[in-house]
Amino acid sequence: MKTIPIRLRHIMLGLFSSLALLWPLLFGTGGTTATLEQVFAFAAFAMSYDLLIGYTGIISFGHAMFFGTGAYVVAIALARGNGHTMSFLFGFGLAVVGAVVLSLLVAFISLRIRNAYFAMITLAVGQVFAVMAGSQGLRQWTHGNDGLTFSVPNWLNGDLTLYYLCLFFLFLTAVFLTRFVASPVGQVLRGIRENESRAVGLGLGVVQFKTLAFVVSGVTATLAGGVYALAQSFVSTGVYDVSGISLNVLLMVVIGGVGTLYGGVLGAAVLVGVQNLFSNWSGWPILTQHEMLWFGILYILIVRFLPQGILGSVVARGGVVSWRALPRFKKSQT
Amino acid sequence: MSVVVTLIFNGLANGALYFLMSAGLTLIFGLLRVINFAHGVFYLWGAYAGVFLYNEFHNFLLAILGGVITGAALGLLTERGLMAKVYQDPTRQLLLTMGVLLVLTELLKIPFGRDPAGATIPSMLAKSWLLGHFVLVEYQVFTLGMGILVYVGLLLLLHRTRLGLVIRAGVANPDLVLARGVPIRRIFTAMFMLGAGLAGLAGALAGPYYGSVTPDMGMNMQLNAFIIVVLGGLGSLNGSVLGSLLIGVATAVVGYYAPSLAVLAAVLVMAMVLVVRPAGLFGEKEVA
Amino acid sequence: MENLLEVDSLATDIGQFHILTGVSFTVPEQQITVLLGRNGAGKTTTLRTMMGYLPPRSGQVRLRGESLQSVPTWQIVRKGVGYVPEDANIFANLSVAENLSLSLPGRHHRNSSNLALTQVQEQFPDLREHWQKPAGVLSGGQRQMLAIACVLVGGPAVMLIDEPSKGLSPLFVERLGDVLLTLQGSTTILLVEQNFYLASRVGQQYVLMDDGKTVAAGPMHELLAALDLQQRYLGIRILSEEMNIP
Repeated sequence: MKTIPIRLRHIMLGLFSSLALLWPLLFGTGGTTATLEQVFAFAAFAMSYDLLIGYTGIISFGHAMFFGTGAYVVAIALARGNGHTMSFLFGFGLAVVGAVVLSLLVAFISLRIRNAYFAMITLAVGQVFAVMAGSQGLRQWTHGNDGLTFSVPNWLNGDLTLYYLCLFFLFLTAVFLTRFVASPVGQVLRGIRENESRAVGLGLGVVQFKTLAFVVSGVTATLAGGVYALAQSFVSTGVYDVSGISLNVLLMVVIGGVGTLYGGVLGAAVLVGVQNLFSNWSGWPILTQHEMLWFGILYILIVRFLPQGILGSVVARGGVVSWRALPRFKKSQT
Repeated sequence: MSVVVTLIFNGLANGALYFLMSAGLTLIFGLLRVINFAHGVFYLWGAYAGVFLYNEFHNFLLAILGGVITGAALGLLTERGLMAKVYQDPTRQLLLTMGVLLVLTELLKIPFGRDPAGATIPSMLAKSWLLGHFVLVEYQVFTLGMGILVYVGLLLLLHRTRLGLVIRAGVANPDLVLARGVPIRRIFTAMFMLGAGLAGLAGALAGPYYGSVTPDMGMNMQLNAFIIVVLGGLGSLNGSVLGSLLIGVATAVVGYYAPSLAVLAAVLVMAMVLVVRPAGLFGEKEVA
Repeated sequence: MENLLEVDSLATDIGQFHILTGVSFTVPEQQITVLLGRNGAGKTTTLRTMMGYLPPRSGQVRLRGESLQSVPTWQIVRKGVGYVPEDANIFANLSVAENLSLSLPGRHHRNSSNLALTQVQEQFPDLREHWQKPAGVLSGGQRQMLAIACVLVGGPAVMLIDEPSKGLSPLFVERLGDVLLTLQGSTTILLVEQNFYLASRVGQQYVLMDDGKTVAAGPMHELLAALDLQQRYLGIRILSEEMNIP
């Protein structure tokens, strides 16, 4: 059960990393590097999401709760600490602790019964965070719907540093998650995705393993949110948005390819790229102002007809025999 | 005192709307074993259909019928066009219904825009009465009445008709219903349409109830409905009645003192129930 | 003696496993045919394939010469093939009366339906006593009676019954045999049965399966005489030898 075969993966990886590394040197900083910083943050976020949907077979519709919390905690820490390095470290540390606590709580109330509960409850909890971030009671921390501007530590100032920080973070995430899914724990998670009742029969603590996957995914998503906030130097309630973040990341992973890990990177590049392109474009309003409609239709078509996603299908067409021909979604009772 | 009575009555009327949503959701789950994440969009389209028809023809009955038919028709398309194709793959069914929600919400924004549109209560239901310090709003009474009517209708359907017999049998064992010579897939479709039609009805009632319609209302209502069915126990009709009333009153009370915290209150109530009873108040025990 | 059902080199996969590899037999009209074989021989899979629950990889099932290929289960039932599954063959949450009326056509045929229900009450006095109670309160034997009655009221041309004696006390196996004997001669039955005593008591024809294939078939009395078949495919001699050990 190999995913992308080693050779092809290495070639693609080498190509894309060198391109990403050289991009600002070749084309200069400015508009495109800012977009790429977003792509890197979302790519890491999407990979964390694929750990759930593609490798564990559980679907969260509220992953923005982590992304947004990471963004807000880092932003508030830096805003309060006037961009001091200590507040930078404190912010990320606190965000990680918060993510662990939050994921354990949500897992406790939702993972014990059936997977469908998890999807519904994550959606509801995600919405709570969106409402809270905009509420008047927390205004002194979050600045409500106005959003929060802050300054980054001095050593991070400058487009180039920030760009490489985002890229480095994506690289670390990719290495970590690749090793995680290849580890014995990752094998167990895949076993659960393929056949949950059999995993139960083997005496595996299915709930515990799912919880672990959710914690790892949540922490990664939180860090991605923090990095996203750094890249923007600004955070608003949009980071908690259901369709803007939680469903966006679902589309990224599904369009890129569920269960491929790197498909999320491709999906993030496509969606963030197109969204940025369209926001600067004034013609064809039905296309450029309603891009979620077209991505949504693409998403439905992929789930219906092409469950391997773009990356998965391209690799499959490349004549790689080891690629699994069956749908990559879990087939079992929810 | 009058505030308490008013809030409780508001809560009951809220609960009636919630019930119309959660009843369909829970019945669809009971029979088809799928959570319909597109439920909120049937409500949304029902609401816009109702407002559109009322503004065009000034006939409230037509507006309500339009809402029901819009919901049921979208339900038919979703079930036949997508769900039935990936039958026996619940994960993909779930992902597809979410896709339907996303696409139909965006599609609605093309003709109607992103901003709220006003919805007026028809004059024949716009009365209100002052009873002591307590104001009784006719449209709330009407909404509550519709909720009760639908509940009674569903009970009669389930326990007094052959379709209801087939549905109750199908909830227990769809394969065995086939062995009795009944085409259960058609019953699935009918149930999905019924649930979607109820969501459309809730939408058509909700426009005048809240005074406006917005593209976000579908997702917001769906969240409440999810909280209710999880709280009451998936698949249980009485669970969704109790859950609707509980969440209806909770959101009315909390919403009165701190409007933005209503969702938080609903989620907290749900979380507390789930900690004690992981399968909800009336839920069946089932392992992961 | 006409063949009501013909099963022609049926092969069925479940997942990657070839469960049936070559099943061929016929079910003659107004006879009880018993499908025998060890656990895992593929008897239940054969019935489920015949009923359209499982799509066969190849082969055919014919009812009075008409192919049932890709006919949905509910239509197979309406064409006159009744099916009593092995487990979960009644609705425990519905009353006995509701279980029975589910098999009857809609309200347009109320008179014939009432007649059918009256016949059931006469034929199964146990069920009459519990008429309005949930079927879940019935004993194991009563459940099997109800499951059979549920199919009978539909007036099937042929009944496929999967191991009705499973888990029943000897007394109920006896009564089950009596019920099946009353159907002998009037109803066509394909019976899957592990209980060789019951099978030989009610069966007129036998079909023997082993490892996903049919290996022998013929009149029941031939199987009773063919001790080698019994030993090889049913392990019956070995069992009786063991019992002779003092």
